[in-house]
Amino acid sequence: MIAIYKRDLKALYKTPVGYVFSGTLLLLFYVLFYVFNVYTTQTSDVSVVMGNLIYWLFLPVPILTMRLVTEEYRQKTDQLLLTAPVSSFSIVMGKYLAGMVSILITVVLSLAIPIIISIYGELPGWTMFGNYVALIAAASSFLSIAIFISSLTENLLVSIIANWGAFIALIYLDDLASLTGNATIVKIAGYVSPFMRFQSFAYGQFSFGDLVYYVSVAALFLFLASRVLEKKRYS
Amino acid sequence: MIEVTNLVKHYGDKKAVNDISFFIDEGEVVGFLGPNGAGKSTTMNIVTGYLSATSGSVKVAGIDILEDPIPAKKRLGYLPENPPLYFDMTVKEYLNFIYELKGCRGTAKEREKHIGNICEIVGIDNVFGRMTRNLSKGYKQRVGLAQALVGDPDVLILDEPTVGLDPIQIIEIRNVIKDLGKKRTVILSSHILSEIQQICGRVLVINKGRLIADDTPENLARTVESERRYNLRVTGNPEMIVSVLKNIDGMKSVTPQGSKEFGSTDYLIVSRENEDVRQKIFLSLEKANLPVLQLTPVGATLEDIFIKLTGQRVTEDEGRAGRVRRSRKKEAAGDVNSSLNLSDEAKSADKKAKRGNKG
Repeated sequence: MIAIYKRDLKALYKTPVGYVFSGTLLLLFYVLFYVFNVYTTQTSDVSVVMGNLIYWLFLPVPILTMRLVTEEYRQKTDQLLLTAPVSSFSIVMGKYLAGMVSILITVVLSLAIPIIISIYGELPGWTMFGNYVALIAAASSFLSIAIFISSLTENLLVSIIANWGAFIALIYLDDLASLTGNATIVKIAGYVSPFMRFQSFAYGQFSFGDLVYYVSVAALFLFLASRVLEKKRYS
Repeated sequence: MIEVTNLVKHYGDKKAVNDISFFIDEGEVVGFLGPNGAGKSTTMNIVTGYLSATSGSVKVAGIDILEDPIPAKKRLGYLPENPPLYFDMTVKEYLNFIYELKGCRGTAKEREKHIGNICEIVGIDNVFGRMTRNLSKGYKQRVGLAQALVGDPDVLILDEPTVGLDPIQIIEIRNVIKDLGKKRTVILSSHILSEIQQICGRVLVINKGRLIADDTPENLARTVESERRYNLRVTGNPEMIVSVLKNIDGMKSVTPQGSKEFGSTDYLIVSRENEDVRQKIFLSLEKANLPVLQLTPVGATLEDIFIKLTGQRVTEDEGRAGRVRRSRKKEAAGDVNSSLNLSDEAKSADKKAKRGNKG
C-alpha cells in the first residue's frame, strides 16, 4: 500500500496531471474568492466561496483518478499490481492516499486566502477551519467515488466523462427529486446528496453527522472499487 | 510446487482453457508449447492469480491462489506477455518500487545489492538510470524479467520471454533462464519448439485450451522426427536433380525451394520413417555429376508436433493463421509431393531457433 501510494504520488507530479489538478482547483478557489470576497463586496465571510467551490470540485477530481486508476489498465500495469502479494483493497487505498495527499497539497496552497483575509479584515477562525475540514472530507468522498468509477473502464476519456456525468447527476439530485413533488424522495435525495450536506459547513455550522457521512461514503466507494478489481478477474 | 487441477476458463462462449491438469515439482523447468491463442497466457494468468478460473484450482506450494492469494503470490515471479512497466519511471525507480511492492523488507544497502545482482544477471546495468519508455523492446523485456526476479521468488512464470528480441538477445535471455532454472521452478511459454528443447526438461503442449502432451522434449521430438528432413543445395539441371532424387530408395518427398545461389537449386527432402538417406543422396548425385553444395538437417517444428499429436494443422482464429494457409497455397504449386510441407511461419521460427542453437 505504501509502495503504491509513494509511486502514484510521484507519478502524479512527474506528469502534468498533478499540476493540472492542483492548478485547476487553485484557480477555481482564487477566482471564486476574488469574485465573492474582493470584487463585489469586501467581506471576510467565505461561506459563498466554499458553497460554490464544492460544486466545482467535480471538475478536477476525475483527472486525478483517470491517472491513478484507468491509466493502470491502459499500461497493463494492473497485471503487475494484481499479481503482486498485496490485496486489492491496499491497491485502492494506496491510490486513494496518493490522491488525498495531492488534495492536501492543493489545500495548503490555498491558505493564502485566510492569510489575505486576516491582513485586510478579521478572520473568522473557527468557521474557516470548519470549512477547510469539511472541504477535505467532501473532497475525500468525491475522490473515492471517482476512483470507483474510474476503476470500471479502461478508456481514459470514458473514465473522465463518466465521472463528470455522475457528479453532475449528483449535483442536480435534489432538484430532480423536488420535481417529483414527493416529500420522501426529496428527503432521501437531500440525505444522499454530498453537495447538500456541505452547505451547513459553509455557513459555519460544524455538523459532525455530515462529517461521518463523508467518511462513510469514502469508505464505501473504496470498498466497492476494491471489489471491482477482484471482479475483473472473473471477466 | 505447482498443482493445477481441472482448470477451465470460459470467455463468454469460448473455452480458452478446457480442463487442464498438471503438477510441477520443485526445481523443474517446464515449457508451455502451443500456437497463439492456445490458452498458454490464460493458463499463466490464472496460475499467477491475475484471472480466476471458471472452475478448477491452482495451488502454489500447497497454497490455493484464490483462497490465500498473498502468501501464494509471494512465491511467484511473473513476466506477463507485455512487460508491465511504468513508463514514467527510470529502471532504478521501477525496480525499487517493485522491491517495496513485493513487501521485501531490507535495508537500503540490502536492497541495492539485491537489485544490483538482478541487473547483472539480466544485463541491464547499463540502462539503470534510463526512463523505461525510452528502452528498446529487448531491454523492456529484460526489465520485465528483472521485475519478476525481485524478491527472489521460488517460482518464475515467464510468458513468451524471447518474443520481440533479436537473435543475440534471444541467446542471452535463454542462457539467463537456464541459469535461473538451476535454483528455481520455471514455467515458460513459447511457440518455438527448439527454444523449449534447449531450456526445459519437460514440455506441456497446449492446443485449443487442452493439454495434448506432457513429455520430455527429447521424447516429443523423437516421436516427430522419425522421418527426417534436410535442406539440400545442388548445382546442375533441376529436372535431372529431381529425377535422380526421386529414384533414391527411402525418399518420401522432394520439394523444390527455388534457387538461392547462382547455378544451384534448393530442395526440401523428407525421408521415410527411420531411413537415413544422406549417403544415398550424396552418392547418387555424385554419380550423375551433380555436385552437392549443402545438406543440412531440418529440426521438427511446432507444426510437425501438432500434425503428429492431433492429426491437424495448427488452426487459429487470428490473422496469422490466414497467412500460414495462404503461403501454403503458394507453395503447393511448386510441390512435387506436398504430403508434408512447412509453412513459411514455422520455417522462419525454426531458422531463428537454429541461429540460437549455433550460438
